[in-house]
Amino acid sequence: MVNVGMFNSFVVRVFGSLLLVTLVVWRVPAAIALETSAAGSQQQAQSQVLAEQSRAQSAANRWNEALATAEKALAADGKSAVALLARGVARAGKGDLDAAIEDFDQVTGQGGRDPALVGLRAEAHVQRSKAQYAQGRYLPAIDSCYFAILEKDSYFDAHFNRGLAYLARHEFEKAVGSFDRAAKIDPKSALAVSCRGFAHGGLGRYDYVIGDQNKALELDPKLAIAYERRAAASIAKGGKKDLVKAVADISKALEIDPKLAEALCDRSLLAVMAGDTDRAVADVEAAIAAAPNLARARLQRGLLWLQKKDARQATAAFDEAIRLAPRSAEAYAGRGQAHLATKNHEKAVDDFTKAIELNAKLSAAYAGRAKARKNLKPDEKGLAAIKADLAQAKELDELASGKKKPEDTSPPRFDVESAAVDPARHAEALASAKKIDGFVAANYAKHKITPMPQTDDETFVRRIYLDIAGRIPTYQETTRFLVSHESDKRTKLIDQLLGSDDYASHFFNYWADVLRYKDRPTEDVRGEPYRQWIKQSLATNTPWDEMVHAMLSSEGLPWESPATGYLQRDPGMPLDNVNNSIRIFLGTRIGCAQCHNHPFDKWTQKQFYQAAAYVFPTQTRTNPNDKRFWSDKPGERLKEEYGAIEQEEEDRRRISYQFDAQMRTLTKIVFDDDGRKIKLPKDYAYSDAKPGDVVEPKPLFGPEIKPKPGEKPRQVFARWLTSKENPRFAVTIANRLWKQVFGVGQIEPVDDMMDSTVAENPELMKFLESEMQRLDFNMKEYLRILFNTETYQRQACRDEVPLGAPYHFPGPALRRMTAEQAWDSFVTLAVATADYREAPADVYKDALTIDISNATADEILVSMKKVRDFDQVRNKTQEKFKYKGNLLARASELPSPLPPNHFLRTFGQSDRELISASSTSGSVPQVLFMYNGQITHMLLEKNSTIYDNIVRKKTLSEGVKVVFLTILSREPDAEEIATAMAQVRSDGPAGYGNVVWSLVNTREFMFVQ
Amino acid sequence: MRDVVSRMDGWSRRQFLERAARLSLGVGLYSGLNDAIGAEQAKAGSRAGGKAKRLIYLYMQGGMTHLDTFDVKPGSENQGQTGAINTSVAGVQFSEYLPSLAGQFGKMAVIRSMNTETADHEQGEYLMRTSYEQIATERHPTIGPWIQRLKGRQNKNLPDTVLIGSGARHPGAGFLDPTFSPLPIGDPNKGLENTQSPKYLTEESFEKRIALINKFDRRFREKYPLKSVQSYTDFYDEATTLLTSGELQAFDLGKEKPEDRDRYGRDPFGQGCMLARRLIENNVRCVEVTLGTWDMHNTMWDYNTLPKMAGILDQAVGTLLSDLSTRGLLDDTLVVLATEFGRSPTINYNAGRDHHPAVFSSMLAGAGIKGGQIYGKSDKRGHGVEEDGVTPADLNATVAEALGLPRDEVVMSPTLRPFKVAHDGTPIRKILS
Repeated sequence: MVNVGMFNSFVVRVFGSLLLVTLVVWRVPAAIALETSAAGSQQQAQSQVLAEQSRAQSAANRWNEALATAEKALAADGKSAVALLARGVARAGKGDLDAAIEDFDQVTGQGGRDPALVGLRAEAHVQRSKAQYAQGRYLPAIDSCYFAILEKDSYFDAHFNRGLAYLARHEFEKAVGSFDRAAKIDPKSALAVSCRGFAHGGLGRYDYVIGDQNKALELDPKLAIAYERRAAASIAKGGKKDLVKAVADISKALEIDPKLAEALCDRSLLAVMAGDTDRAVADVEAAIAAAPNLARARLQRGLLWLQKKDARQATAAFDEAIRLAPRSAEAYAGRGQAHLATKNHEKAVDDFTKAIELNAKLSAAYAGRAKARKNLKPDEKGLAAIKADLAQAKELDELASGKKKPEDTSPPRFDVESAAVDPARHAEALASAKKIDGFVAANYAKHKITPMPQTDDETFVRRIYLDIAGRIPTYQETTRFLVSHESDKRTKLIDQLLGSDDYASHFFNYWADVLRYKDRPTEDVRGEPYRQWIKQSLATNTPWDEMVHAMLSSEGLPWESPATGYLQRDPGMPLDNVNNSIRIFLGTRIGCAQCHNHPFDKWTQKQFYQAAAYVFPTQTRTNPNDKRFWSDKPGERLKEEYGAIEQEEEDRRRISYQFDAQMRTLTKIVFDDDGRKIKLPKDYAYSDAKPGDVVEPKPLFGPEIKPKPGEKPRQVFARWLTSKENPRFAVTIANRLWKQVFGVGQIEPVDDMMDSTVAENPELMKFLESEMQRLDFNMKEYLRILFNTETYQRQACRDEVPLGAPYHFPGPALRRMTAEQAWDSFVTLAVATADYREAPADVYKDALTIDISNATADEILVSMKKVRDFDQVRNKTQEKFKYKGNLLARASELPSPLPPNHFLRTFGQSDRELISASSTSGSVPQVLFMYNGQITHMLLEKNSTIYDNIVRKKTLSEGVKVVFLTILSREPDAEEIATAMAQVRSDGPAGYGNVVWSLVNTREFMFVQ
Repeated sequence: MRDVVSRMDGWSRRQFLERAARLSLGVGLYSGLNDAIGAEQAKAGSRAGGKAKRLIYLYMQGGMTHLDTFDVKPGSENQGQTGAINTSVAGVQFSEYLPSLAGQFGKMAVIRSMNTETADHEQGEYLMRTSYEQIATERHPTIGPWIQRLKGRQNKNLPDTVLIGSGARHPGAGFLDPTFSPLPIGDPNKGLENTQSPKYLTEESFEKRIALINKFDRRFREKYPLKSVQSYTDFYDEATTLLTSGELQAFDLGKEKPEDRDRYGRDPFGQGCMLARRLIENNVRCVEVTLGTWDMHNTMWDYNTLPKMAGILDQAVGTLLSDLSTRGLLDDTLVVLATEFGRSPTINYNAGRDHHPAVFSSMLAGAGIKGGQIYGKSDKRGHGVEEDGVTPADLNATVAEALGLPRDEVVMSPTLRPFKVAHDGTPIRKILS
């Protein structure tokens, strides 16, 4: 903050926030040399000579002569681009800007790709830019430079002048970019470097300002403005030493150019600080005389008059400042202050409000507005506004003085709400579990199988956490379970885990694999609403038939009707979609029959088409001109409106694609187009129908189903597929979940059933199916039964079952952890409570809920910006949870699909292209990940959960036990204790590192027993 | 395939498919079946063995402009700011941005008549890499895993296929077993990830740790003498061997002289090409290096866009070809450069070019290729194919032919659909040596 001694608090505030280096009006640089073009006829040659002569006269500021010569050139050749350009330059010099622009337009309107003409067009664009700049039309000035760049990319003047126009619009970041580009094109240009630094000043980067001025002065030691800018930056930094440097630099600048207005302004400012108001006034007046268009001088003059309590003079000065710099918040705030002094309170409120609009961080404007409103007899609402303004001013002052840090608001997160299993159904579950054990035991006898013994508590606690929560238990969870003497602690833990949020996380991973879930099923569709719908449905235990029915039959936009995400996964591919649905939900593959009768199953091509006929009318998108959804073709209207929005042409073109994309996003409606009928393909080769015949919907199997009145074919299909009468719906989900629990299905593979398929234990399969139906597809209750069986709680099978041979469930199969189980277990070891949650899709809903029939193009742009902002917030939040670039969150919170070199993909997570494409087979890169991956090493660092657990223990042997319980969920045996203790004794803390590293690298860690 | 099948009568179709299915567990279709499926199949029969043993596949992501690289049209008003230069062969010109490649034209065959029907990046890329259209129910393998599937694994310790700088949507091994999956390398400068032990760990202490694993794990492995556990143990042994064998040096560009690395260009693609050469030298069979993005809709003559990108391409591939040649590796290494589509001849109002699948270019060099040739022709404006159109399947069939792959061998996917490498494309005999 600048120390301005005797100034009143308002002036201090304004000076404090005043961007010392930004209110300049540039002086137009000299025109560049002309590129000569090959002249055709003699007349053209004559015209060209005259045009060049005119340009020379312009260069010497002899505008009238230049204009006359240019007119002669045009008399010789009325279309000569060189001559038109010359006349435009002369006219501009005389101040006839509109006429000049007409000339430049005539040049840029000439088509053709002759290099000389391209060069002339580029220059005409730049000349027009300068004229527009002089008119104060900065946006068109920027566009003109952009057009010049499109003609000729490496064009110094175009980039440089664009930089100036950006400065005038206070777009400092862009200005830096333009000057930077100019400086690269002409590495000898001191001015470009100096301006780049100047633009940095607008962003408060004063050291950059100084650095660039130093570079500029190396290139041109006589560049007075560079000294001045260095001085201005020093003043802005405000330290004592800085001010001494500033005094020296100002002297140097004025020595080179005694009329350098900016330097005079700086000196005035220093005089204020020294308490010499008269000197300050004298310098400001000198500055205004030297550069009447320098807004900053007017602003400083206004502030001085305010200080001298002459409100009338101050108002006049601020009026001038505002005329010259209409985007100066400080000038508005100053005039507001002057109005306050003359008791023009309403005008004061207006000016302060305008100032706040232009710069929301100007504390003086808030304070001033509050003061003005106090004098306006405020009502209750007015009082509240005053209070808010004062609070805002106070906070901004505290932030500026470093008393207060910006507030850290907690980021938005999506948490599921989980439902517990029903305590009243506990006994019923145990009874069903017993029945299952009976069926299994019957098969033991039949196939002469010796079942495995029951698990001990250590094995059980690890397995049940992995199977329900999808991760190993923490040290505390393990010990709590092991020390408990309750006889029903296992069944209690099962219930607890089924009711936890971890359940939804783990089963989401499973279904994301089956459903090929992607965050971007197509470029313009976001998957998050669907993703969170799946999670929430699992957590609240929505019955499976309801979930599937919603996925198959939902209509509308993704954020309004999230289950439509299922259909958005196969956009425009109804045949593939029906194929996928039958496979996923009915465990049946009819894909082969898409092109010909199924070679190994009974399905005919016609049957495939009959099944597909249900979903063939379904569309996954519409367009903004579709009359069925919107009135008056809003697509065309919005595109027109978009073209008329005031913005940079480059942005308009760049964002145009995104605008179109947003329109597509807003029209991704799933609906049924009743007119669409499926026809047999052209190469249909069977005798029961002809190619091109329309096919009516007919169920693949099961009882006939009659459409209800008004029911769409897709709704009929959803009703048929999820009905209890469907012979394969209940059996498929019962078998899929059985496999999740035991590692092997009753029927294998789970999604390729045929009429000839026989389950390992047909009576048991029948019972499981009937249980699923009896429970009305309540998945948690069904899983509760399976986890409570003796069969599940046996030790894992130790014998090799040959490929293709039936597995008779002497216990669950030994399985390698899935990629997600392995990752989530690592994350558990590293951070205990992985607290990151994905951002809620509802924020997108808020941004995207737009009725395009009534929306304006501006509203569409606002919605685009909102989505971008949310994404930014999300990315920022993620940064906080990252360790060396890895987001330490549960697998179910991570993007989908992940890049191929992510831990999860290396360990076999699906790329989400094919149904159930995950894998649990090993590979060398997996082992390398375990050996050397960052996440392994994180375990060995301070602050990891395991590290914290160890340091809490006092003795070495206790520490070793903790390590084993944390990583393997069991106590070490005597030999292991001895081995581990020897490590720690010989290597100290590094010995613990060796033990931890080795334990996570055991097969015991990676396999689910 | 589908055409052949649909032309068969009901009985032979069923018989064919049943037989194909029986062979689906890995063995290819034997030649006896050719009779049943007719002449079409015989025509596609492949030769005994190509000359190329290894493949470097350079993928130009985003749609490489043909007019500003391999198919310049000097004097055309669509040419924009790109000039033409002569190549080492009289009468053939490349863009001025490819001086090094122009000088080595004698090594390469350039196809100027590639074409597809899709202007969508993802679908185009997929088609180019697999020869099949992208569908929701199947994932097709790319060339590296195809080679491994058809010819067996070549390298004991190192993977057969390495991808450098490919994105998440690379189809990889497709429906083939995950063990065929290519090894992805994100940053060629870092080499193979997770092979760097922490600094405090000496070789001795690493061995100590390995010994510890085995001690702690003994009980578990005795309890579960299963194949799945054993195979995991094998991977541990392989990984340990790899880390200690020195073969990892193949991934380490730090072993190259800095001035040699400079010759390739110090950008990810240049370094990727150098890494490709190192891997090829170490008997890795297929390396794919991606250069993106060529999606130049805006201000493409900006020094940061076309000139920069083409400069990277020219320096890297120019150096790669001359290095392979001087080391004698070009005699058994095939180099292919491909992209999903070209860019529109008409320059758009943003001074860029848009997607253009109607005609574009591709390049092959090295083993099995007759150099110094142009194949196919685009029309005057560079808008469409004038002569000898080539589809992605044809290009891939040419690659397969040069590698000596059995193009008629049917491999069944797990959904029991039949697929072939290069999808019955026709190899371009004229450019094969």
